[in-house]
Amino acid sequence: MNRDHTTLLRLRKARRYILLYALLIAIAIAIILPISWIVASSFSTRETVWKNVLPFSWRAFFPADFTLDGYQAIFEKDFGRALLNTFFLGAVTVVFGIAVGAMSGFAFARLKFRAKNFLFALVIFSFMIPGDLTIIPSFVLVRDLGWLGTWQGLIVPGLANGIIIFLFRQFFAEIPQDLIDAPRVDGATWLQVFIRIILPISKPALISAGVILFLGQWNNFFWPLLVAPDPELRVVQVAVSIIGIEQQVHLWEQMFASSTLAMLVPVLLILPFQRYYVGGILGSGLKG
Amino acid sequence: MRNKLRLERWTPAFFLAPAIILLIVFRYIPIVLGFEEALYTNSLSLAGARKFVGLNNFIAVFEDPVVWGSFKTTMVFSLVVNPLQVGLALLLAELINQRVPGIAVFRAIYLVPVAISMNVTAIAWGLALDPNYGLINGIIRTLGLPRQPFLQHPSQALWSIIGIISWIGVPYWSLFFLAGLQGISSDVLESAHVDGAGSLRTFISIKLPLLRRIIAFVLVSDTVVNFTLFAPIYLITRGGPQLSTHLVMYEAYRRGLVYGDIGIASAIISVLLIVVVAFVAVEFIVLRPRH
Amino acid sequence: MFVRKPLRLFGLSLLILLLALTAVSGQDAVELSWITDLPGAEEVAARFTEYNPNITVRVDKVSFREVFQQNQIRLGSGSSEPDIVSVDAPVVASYGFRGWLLSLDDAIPAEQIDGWVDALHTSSIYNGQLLAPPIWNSAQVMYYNAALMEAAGITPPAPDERWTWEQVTEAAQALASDADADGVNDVWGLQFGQYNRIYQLQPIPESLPTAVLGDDGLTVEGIIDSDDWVKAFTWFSDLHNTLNVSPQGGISSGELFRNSQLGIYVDGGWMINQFINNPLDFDWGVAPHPYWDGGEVTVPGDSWHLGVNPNSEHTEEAAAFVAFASSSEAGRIWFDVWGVWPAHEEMLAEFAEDPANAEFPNLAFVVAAGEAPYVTPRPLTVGYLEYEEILSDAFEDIRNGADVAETLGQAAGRIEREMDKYRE
Repeated sequence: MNRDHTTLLRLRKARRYILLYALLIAIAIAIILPISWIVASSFSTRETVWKNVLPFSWRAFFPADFTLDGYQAIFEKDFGRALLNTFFLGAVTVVFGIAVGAMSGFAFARLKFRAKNFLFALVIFSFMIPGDLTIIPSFVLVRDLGWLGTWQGLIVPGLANGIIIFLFRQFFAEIPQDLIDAPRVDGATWLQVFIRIILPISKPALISAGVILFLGQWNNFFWPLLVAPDPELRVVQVAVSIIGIEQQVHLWEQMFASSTLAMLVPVLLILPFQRYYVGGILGSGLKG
Repeated sequence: MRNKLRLERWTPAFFLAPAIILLIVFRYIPIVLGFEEALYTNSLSLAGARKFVGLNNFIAVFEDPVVWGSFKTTMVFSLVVNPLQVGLALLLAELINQRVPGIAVFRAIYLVPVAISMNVTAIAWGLALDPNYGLINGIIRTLGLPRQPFLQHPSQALWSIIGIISWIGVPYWSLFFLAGLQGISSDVLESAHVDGAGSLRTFISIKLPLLRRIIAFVLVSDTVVNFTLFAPIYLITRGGPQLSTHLVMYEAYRRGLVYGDIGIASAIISVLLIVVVAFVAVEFIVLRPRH
Repeated sequence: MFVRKPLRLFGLSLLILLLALTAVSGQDAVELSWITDLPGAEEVAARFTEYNPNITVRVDKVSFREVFQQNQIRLGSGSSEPDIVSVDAPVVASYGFRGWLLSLDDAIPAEQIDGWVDALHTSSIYNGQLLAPPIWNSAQVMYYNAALMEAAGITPPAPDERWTWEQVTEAAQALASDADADGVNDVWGLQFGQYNRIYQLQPIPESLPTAVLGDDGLTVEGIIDSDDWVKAFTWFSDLHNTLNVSPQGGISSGELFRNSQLGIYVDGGWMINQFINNPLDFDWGVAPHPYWDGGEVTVPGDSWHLGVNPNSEHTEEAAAFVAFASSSEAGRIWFDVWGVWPAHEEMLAEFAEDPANAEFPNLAFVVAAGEAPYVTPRPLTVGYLEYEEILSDAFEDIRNGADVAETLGQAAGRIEREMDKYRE
């Protein structure tokens, strides 16, 4: 009787596992298939890239013939420059974006000042209005500042990010009061507290913010195209859109090679930081 | 000592100034400029010269059947896509919150679309949904079912777009829910288990209420993103077939950057802005935490 | 005297040196910016700088669609860049109307202007002013897969044999096949390169013959929804929906052709270069663009044109570059880089007589260049951008099986509403 019950439980548990894994695997396949097709195609030649897709066969997920032609061609077209540019852009944006976001997040979380609610409402409201909505007036503004074709035109407008400020504020609000009170009593300024006490214990928040800011710059397309189409300032997504096509003729192997590199970098970046990205400020600040 | 106190008075300003100034200059001034631009037209006069036209552009928004139609399509689209994505993201989060062997691998895989740009996604899915050569129709045929037109037919195109953006959107938002689920203390769940609640009951009556604030945050953010959806429409359907995927941002793009009528494009965007703010306000009121 | 002479010499040379220095510094290096998607742009710019060492041209490469957007935003907001404006032939009028192009009447040598093919010269003028010279020349041709034709029992057309659309339809039906009966043709009969753009589809109604735009350059009602248009596009719809010889969806026709899955393929002459440089693994050929039996021969063609931004800080230098890029010397560079032939009448003749072009595949260039006299410019209207965009929607819907008369009727209504603003 007891043994039967255990068997039943075990059976139910096994059935649950099978269902669960079937579901997990099905979703994983839906995610991996289109990506593996892009990657496989990037190692094909222009002549063979569509061989296994028209009509479709499972071979589409493997290179028809392994070649690095596509990669070689895109680096001859200065794709490396675009990669470096975007790394630089991302790095500068991360450093300054974190500085701007963390400082104001700290003020909102810990300092007392007038019009706090109003100013915080400004922050919240700003991330409800996507930049896409105001792209033309923003362009005119940046042009009037004389920033077209410059790094600052690419970087400065995106430094203050409502979500980043919000997330830092939520994170800092959870820090125990004692940690701050002790050095304050000892006469430390707020800036000293911020730099010496707060920042060192905010690794998850800093990493999450960094990842968000970096991905934002990495996947940015329309703004860089508008502000700095110069070849010297070309960024990855713009390069992908140009390299893949010449006078309405697709250079497929190059398009797939550049797309592969364009997605590889953020994936490599996000995977090791997954723990922070998930566990960091995203959750802690929003707890019910 | 007095010096230091005086310095302290300026501390908040010091911490806040960079963010607030940047937000005002690069986020709020353009909004105001956009509203102002909607009162002018410059598309028909010499470059730079502008003509004040009052509310004419706004009147055109409501009178032009294509523009107005794009607002209606966007409204229907939003009412479907937001609850759908939030619901699926919740389920996905619950799925990857299961403590089973190998779950970390699946979590990592599910994270991948988050990092992929809309350009690449659109290229891949536009092809996968091709009526003749697409991967999806290949699978459908292998199952012995009839081929589907997907992006080629007005009855399926918007749904196909919803599917494509959810490929990125659902995993993305599920990250937020996963973080929330992991933050729920095991004591709470333990006691529910002791009370004999099944996993469905626990999910609905314990976890969901605890996730209320995250749900509100995600729903609002998702609403904003989807109201201003542009890239997949631009890259895949161009608003068709038969205007079935003609969303507001695409119409604004056409007016402004194809036809060169910045005035009416600004009016469309201004109206959209008001709609978004109204929508978000309603969502906040409905989902506000009740203590 | 003698003493003073060296002094004077010294003074003179000093003066010359100073003058030379100011002259050099007066010739400050100028950088011109140019937004374009054209292959060969860098090469043309480099050659120009060889002749004008103090002027460099910065080529900002973007994709085809983005050239138009960049122009709208920059020129529309009165920016000083780009100095050199890329203008697609049919939008010369639209940009001219908005005041986005400087008159180049005095900037281009008369003999250069006289040398251009007539249709291209016409496209560069708006309101009696030369605004945007053509930089090369193109025409659409009919490519075919000779092996597939043979298998289907069809004799391919000779290089100078112009088929009618009736012949093409018949051949397409013979070519189309679905041997494995999976519901998708293994071989399609006919497809156009830009299957939803007026650029490519204009000859279908125009060859009947019928108008594609009212004489006032604005009216479309009664024209694009006329019985003739409905007839022309019912044929186009049938290809995709009832005859099932043309594929729906977004797979590029060039790839289907390369894969031996397309028998007849109508596209620009610039594909010849592609097929020579990345060789096709079957016998292929080129024939003149088809027309309707009893109708007129009209062929899509034309060129990109270049203009000068009136707000540019270097209009003189920019005009000099435009003059060079539309010269016969630059014409040769454009051809070498990607196989578009020159805009110059005289060079076309040389081209046809060149013995190097007597044999296939180079003969294909001669077939294509021979279409120059039949090239009809696109409809000349200030509202071309609206006209094109709305018609693209309609063509796409027709491909997908929407009712032809209804779709064209709606498109006419939408275009009319947009044109209203130009009527004031």
